[in-house]
Amino acid sequence: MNFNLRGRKKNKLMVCTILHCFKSFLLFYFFSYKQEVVYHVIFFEIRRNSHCHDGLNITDSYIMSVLAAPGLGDTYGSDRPKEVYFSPYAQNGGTTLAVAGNDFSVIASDTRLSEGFSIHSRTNPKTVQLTGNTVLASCGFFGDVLTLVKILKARLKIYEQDHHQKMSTTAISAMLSTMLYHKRFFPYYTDNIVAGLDNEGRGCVYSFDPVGSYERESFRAGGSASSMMQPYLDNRIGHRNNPNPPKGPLTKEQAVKLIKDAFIAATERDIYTGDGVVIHVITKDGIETESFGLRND
Amino acid sequence: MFRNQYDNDVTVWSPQGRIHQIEYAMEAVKQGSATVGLKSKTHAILVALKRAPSELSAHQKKIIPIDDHVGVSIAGLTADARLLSNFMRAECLDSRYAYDQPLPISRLVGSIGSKSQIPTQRYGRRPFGVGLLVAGYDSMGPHIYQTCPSANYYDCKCMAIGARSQSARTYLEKYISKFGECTLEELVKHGLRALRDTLPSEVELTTKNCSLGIVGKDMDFTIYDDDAVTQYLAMVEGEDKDRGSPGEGEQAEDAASPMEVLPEDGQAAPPADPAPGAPEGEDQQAMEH
Amino acid sequence: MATENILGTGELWRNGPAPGSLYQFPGNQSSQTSSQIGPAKRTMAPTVTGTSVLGLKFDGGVIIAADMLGSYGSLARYRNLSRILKINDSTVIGCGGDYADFQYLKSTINQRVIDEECWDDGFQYTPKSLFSWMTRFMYNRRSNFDPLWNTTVVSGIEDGQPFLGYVDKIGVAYEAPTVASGYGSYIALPLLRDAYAKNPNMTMAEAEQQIERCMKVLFYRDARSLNKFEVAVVTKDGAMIRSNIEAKANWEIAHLIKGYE
Repeated sequence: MNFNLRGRKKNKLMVCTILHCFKSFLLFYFFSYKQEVVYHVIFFEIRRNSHCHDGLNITDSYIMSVLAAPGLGDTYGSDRPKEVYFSPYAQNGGTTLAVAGNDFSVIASDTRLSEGFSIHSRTNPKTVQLTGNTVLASCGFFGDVLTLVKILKARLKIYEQDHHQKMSTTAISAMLSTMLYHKRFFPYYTDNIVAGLDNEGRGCVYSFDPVGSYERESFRAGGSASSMMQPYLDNRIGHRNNPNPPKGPLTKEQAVKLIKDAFIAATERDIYTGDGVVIHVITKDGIETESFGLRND
Repeated sequence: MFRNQYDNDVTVWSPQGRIHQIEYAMEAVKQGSATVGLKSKTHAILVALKRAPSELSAHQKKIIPIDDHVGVSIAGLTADARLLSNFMRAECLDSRYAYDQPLPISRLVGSIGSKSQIPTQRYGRRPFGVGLLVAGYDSMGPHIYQTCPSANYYDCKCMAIGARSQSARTYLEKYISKFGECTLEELVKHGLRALRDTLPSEVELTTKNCSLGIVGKDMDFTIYDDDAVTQYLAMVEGEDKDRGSPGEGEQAEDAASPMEVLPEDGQAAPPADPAPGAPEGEDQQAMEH
Repeated sequence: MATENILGTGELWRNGPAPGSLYQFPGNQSSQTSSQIGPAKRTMAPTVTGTSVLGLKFDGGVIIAADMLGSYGSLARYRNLSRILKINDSTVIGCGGDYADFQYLKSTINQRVIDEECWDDGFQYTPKSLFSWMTRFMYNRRSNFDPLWNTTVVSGIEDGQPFLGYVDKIGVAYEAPTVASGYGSYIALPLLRDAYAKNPNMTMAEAEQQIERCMKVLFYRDARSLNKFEVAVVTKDGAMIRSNIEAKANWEIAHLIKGYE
């Protein structure tokens, strides 16, 4: 898997050519070692205030180091790639779920925060209210979740100050997509779902992959138990292979009941889901929040 | 064209120990329309008189929201005010990002002081041409601060800046002891009366030319414009005007240098060297609000 | 770092002379060894380490505890290290993991506290603001692939309410009424959670009792722990740190445990 050791110099020179586009350029690959995944990271960092004292600018000194020899400069302050043996990611579990109706949307998450076989917290919802009619649910690596939410909130405030209005659910989703993609080569390890109302007042749900691909859907489960919940929703809301689908559109009450069932069921099988659920029902009149307990073993 | 040989650059002292460029910048604040800030024990408010630079123009915004807990009203060059408010917004966002807390008002204003000082000491630069009244609420309570182009800033109980603002300060001085215990409604009334006192006799406060900003305990900074100020204007409608002599604000009072200018006499005009004249044309007025 | 051998082809130290050869200036291609071709490496494992930190909220305050051992691998190297840092009268942090990184963190925070005092405006770090800053600091370091190898517990009083938070080396952070890092999260946290569930409004004395019990259990089971620990209690009256508390252990039944040799 050491694909990037060969042609490493080429990579370095490539870094020089794209210096003006990226502050840092990063490749990392994994290999298994005694059942442990070791993150073998090659990190090209271009330092703005480089440690070189020969008066060359960054680009020049970088080329120099390629031409001269690896070994110019020492480990610290070196502009050579760094090798690191730690995982910059963790999997903190949690499950999220959102459903869009005709004039409402419902979004929910469990409240368990875990790592490995430990439970960090039993009272940590993964949902964040972003505006009067938009809620984000984000789970995965919680360090990235915290950072993403902080940056999102700052961006929302900037938008509001610039445009003299709150950001719409649709616009938030588009912005979130670009924010995720901007970290394409060192991604936010997060599974995001945005729920709210679109500009016509219809319920809307947007789901994202960790690097920013997104689409509008009528229902989506995310996080650790998503592979259990999604097929359940496919059947109950999407009416796939459902011999007698109910007549009429999905109501708020039906959606909330389905969500509760989905969480109760998933908690039986997924150790990273449990303790409690927070459900937000978004309508034109605002957001109503309710919560209930799940098994906490 | 030069008024004297010592006002070419901000790095040049006059023999009287003054820096004329800074004083000229202070004059720019007085070209802007008046704005008043005052606070009680629970709230800080801003009231501002909006100007329409021409018949064809809308009234220009005077109050700028910075963050949930702070806003400013401006007098002087609008463009400079925009730059400063963008800077303030960035500072506030940074504080919330790093510390998950609203930036203390004193530190926000301190950072403006530091920023404004730089062009008062560098060759080839000009000081900011705008004065701000900053109204904010933090864990120490409500605050009103005044900032100047000279990079001075003052923590105030109440303050008025801009054209003919001396009349408003006279009003504020008269009632200053009452503000602390005021209800929000009474505070707004005092603010509107102070602002009204800056108006020439033929002009009235209207929903078009009056703007109000309120921040306080359990209340984010909120701006009331147009129809939203109607209810507040109604509270002081029909009262007798209680104003000082018109034009009083433009008169020179003493020879204080910019370093010594007290908040009470933002009007200090240069005595020995000729003072800058009144605005010369409409185009100059158009930049200042 | 692979160095072939001392006397043969390898280097003595990075960029240094091979035995019997002249000093090789940097850039001399012929002196390359495998260690120079590979990517730059940093020591990415902790050396001197502290073990668990425990924290528990009680009625009107919060208590945290950490033992005073600095382990060097399995060696009980330093037996009188403080791992608790008082920030001000309302904020205290406790740190597990690499002790050098803790000392660095400590000097960084202390300098920031001094800078903050220079404003002299009555504002200071609060538990929440320090907690938030810690998450940013740890997260930024991990994002530069240069993490501080610590788990930090932030505790204190803000607006009359107790605060207890956890931050790890990659920026995972949360608030909870009970927290524990390291082995404490397996051994002590269930005990603390149980005690808290049964009595969410403990008195200070009850909370201290629970913490001391947990420290003792940790001493019995965690091989990198010591029966000497520090406790910090933060209430509205200020932050108080007590050092050199001894967990009185009883090994009388130890000889009965057989069959695990």
